[in-house]
Amino acid sequence: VSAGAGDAERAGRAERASRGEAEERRPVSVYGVGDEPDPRFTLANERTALAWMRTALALVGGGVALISVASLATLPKWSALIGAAVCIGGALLAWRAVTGWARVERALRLGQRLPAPRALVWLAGGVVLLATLTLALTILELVRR
Amino acid sequence: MTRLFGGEGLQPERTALAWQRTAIGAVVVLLPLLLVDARLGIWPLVLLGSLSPVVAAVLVGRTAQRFRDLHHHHDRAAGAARAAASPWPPMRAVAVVASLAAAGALATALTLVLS
Repeated sequence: VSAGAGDAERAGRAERASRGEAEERRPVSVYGVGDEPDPRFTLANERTALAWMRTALALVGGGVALISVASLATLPKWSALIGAAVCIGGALLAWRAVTGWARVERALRLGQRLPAPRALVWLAGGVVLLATLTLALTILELVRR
Repeated sequence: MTRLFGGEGLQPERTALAWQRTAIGAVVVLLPLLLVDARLGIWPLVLLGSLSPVVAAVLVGRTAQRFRDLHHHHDRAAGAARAAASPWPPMRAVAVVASLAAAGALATALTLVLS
């Protein structure tokens, strides 16, 4: 009987803890709706968001490296501006990763279809644009010399 | 086949490792900029950039917490509440680090161009 009572007490404690946790889980716009999804899916969503975060950090790191090289070597001044643009793109992508995680988690909880990864198109477009701009400015610089 | 960690397999461990890689990236991303600003003598930016270890410490702390959450995910009796914790706070911390670095990079680039 005492073992059964202990189990019930433990279960009650766990339930209260879960309920308290659910109340304080943020953001409410995500955790306040739907049901708890399969942990495998929610963990996969978290890892995908982290992969986006690392892509964003790589962009910021690349921009910082470009600015560092521009300050040390005699590179044209526009290269520092390109580096800054890459950094800003990286920061925007980092926030996009956060909101993207929330959107997918919400869809998982509500049993809805997952949103399309539109950020991929923006990322590819931005990288191509910056690469083209850098190439054009480099050619212009060579022609001027 | 043996079911590990209550059916999630090694997913909690993989997720925790992904957090560690992200935290390492966030901690080191600002360091080159600090050195450049110090070399250029842009001391306000060096001061601002020096906040990065504080943000990084918060991030590492939150990542460690997330690591514990994930590690105890399978222990239903002891870690039910922990298992339900949200990755939202450490994710925002990484985004703040990226934003700080971008702001510092923009200011440094403008200083280079206008000098």
